[in-house]
Amino acid sequence: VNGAVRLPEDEADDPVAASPTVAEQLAIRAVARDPEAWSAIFEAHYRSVFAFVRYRLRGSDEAEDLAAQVFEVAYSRAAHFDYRGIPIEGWLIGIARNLVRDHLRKIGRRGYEEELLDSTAPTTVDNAVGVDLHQDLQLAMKSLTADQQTVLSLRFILDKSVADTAKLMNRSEDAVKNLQRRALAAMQRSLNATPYRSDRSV
Amino acid sequence: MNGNRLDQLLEIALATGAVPPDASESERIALAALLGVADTVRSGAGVVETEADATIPSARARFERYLAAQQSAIRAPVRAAPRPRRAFASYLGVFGRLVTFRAFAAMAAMAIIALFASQALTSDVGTASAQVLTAGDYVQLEGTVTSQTTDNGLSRLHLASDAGEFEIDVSGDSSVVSGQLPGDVSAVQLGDHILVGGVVNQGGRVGARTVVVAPQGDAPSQGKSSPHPAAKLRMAVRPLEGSIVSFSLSADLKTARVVLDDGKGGLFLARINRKAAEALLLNSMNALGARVRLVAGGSPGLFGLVVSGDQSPSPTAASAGAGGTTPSGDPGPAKATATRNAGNATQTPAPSATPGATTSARAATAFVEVKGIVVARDANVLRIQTDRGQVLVALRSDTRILLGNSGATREGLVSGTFNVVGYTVSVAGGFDAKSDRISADLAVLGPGPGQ
Repeated sequence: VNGAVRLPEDEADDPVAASPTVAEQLAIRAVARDPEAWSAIFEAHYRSVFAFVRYRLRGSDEAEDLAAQVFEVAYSRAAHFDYRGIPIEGWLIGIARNLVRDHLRKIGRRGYEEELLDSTAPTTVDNAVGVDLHQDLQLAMKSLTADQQTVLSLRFILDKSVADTAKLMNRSEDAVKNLQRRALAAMQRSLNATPYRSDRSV
Repeated sequence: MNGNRLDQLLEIALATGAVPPDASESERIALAALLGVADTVRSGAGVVETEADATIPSARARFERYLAAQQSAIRAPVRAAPRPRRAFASYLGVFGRLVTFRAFAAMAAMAIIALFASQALTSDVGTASAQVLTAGDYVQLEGTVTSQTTDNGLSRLHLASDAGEFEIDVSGDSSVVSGQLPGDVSAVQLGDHILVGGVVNQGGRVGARTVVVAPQGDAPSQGKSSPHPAAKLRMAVRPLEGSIVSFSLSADLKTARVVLDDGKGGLFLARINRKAAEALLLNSMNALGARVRLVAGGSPGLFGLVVSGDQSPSPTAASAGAGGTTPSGDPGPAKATATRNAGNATQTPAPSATPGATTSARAATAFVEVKGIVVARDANVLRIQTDRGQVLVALRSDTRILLGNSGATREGLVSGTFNVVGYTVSVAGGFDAKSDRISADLAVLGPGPGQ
């Protein structure tokens, strides 16, 4: 009585995160374009990819569109994925960064702020969420450099550790810490008219 | 102020949520400001997560179509892959200003055609599944077996349900209840009306844990509308009322999703919070068929729900009343042997193979359900006292356990440091004929002694 019940640990439900071996096997299947492997990758990483791109884009629909494109591009480039050097998530985030950059270049003709102001209402009638992020937060994010955006997304939206962020950004942990401080300072400058004085003294 | 030192202090502050005590006054001011900004950024994470959850069905459906097109292209290289729906929309956005009115009209016509085409696509099996199912979810579905293939002891069923069409894998590990008795996979036949409890696998199919087969002649779907095309499935945007036609519980047990039939031909997918899911299941572990009303759930896109009246699909074991085969206080555990209870009156709950457990009986298509108080625990087996006797319930490695307000933690349950004896518990599952136990798919822990 009252012995231990063997219940699954959370990781056991996630074959992608279960162990490096499983992740590597999944990557090998992904390179071979196994549809089930790609479905698993989608399930494991869609939310992260969506969250990563969301703050840089105008709305949920646009983020969904671009996040979906990330997986399509990844699938089309599967043969070039070197699973020994980089985790799948890092690869997807890298693709997402490039797609966001290209996308923003395209809409840059019209102007990001103008596009953003046009997107205050949910564009899909049947979207239950009906939430829109604060424009000021999005605009503040826009004022950052690409690396600063990336570090804030990884650290505070995706809740990655400094070590994981460093790995995903291919930087040292100290560099990530420095980048995150500068990014937060830049965000504060954008969000608040009061300048972040101490930043200048560093 | 040293930059490297500030970096380190900030990292400590972010990890602990407080400014380190050794920070100077100017550092404290700077760190407090940065922590505030970090909190502001983090505050958006919840919204982003909600948005991601809301968009995942359509994104998944799009990716599945993409994968299917790629596979088709491999098999038949002359076929071009279909262009993603949104790609066309963005094409309009980028080049819209450059085209003439006539060209725009032509493009608009093409867009309408594309829209119809994409809507037609959403009625296929993959999309229907994608809209309702997420890998790792525990789900309850009900419908009719419209096709069946068997391979190496694995039976793959195509299920047509009011929530859409689904692929179900029934294996030797699945608990099959047929005629309210333990059965096996061979008991499931084409045309059967079945109830399925299981876990969604990475391929989007449901790995059945329990399959309940309605007896021939029983028509649990009588009076219901015919299955809706999945294309009608819409996200719920405001409170509404309807009957649950599918129920799914996320792998992290934090949220659930229901598909509601509003009785007017509309199907609505709604994400509900954990408390609402627990309340629903405490009302009846068989969520399907319950008539509920969505209410605000505390955050955007998340609903609570209220069960409308007592229309739960199954009575609880505790309230089942007549029909029990073991008197209350039976000192020994009930056996899960297949004993047909011929003595049951026609209006009493359907007999179950285990006294104290019941498939209700809306009857024959309900999961085996147990409600009672845990009187003992031996490793993963709970002995539960119900009004009709004691029942042994085995918690499996994949049993989903909602902890409710019990105060229990998952770690405490796993390690055995949490003493579950004396707590009320509700269980849904099937029979494990090999071990004479109820096999739990889903459990909700209720109040404990003195609570």
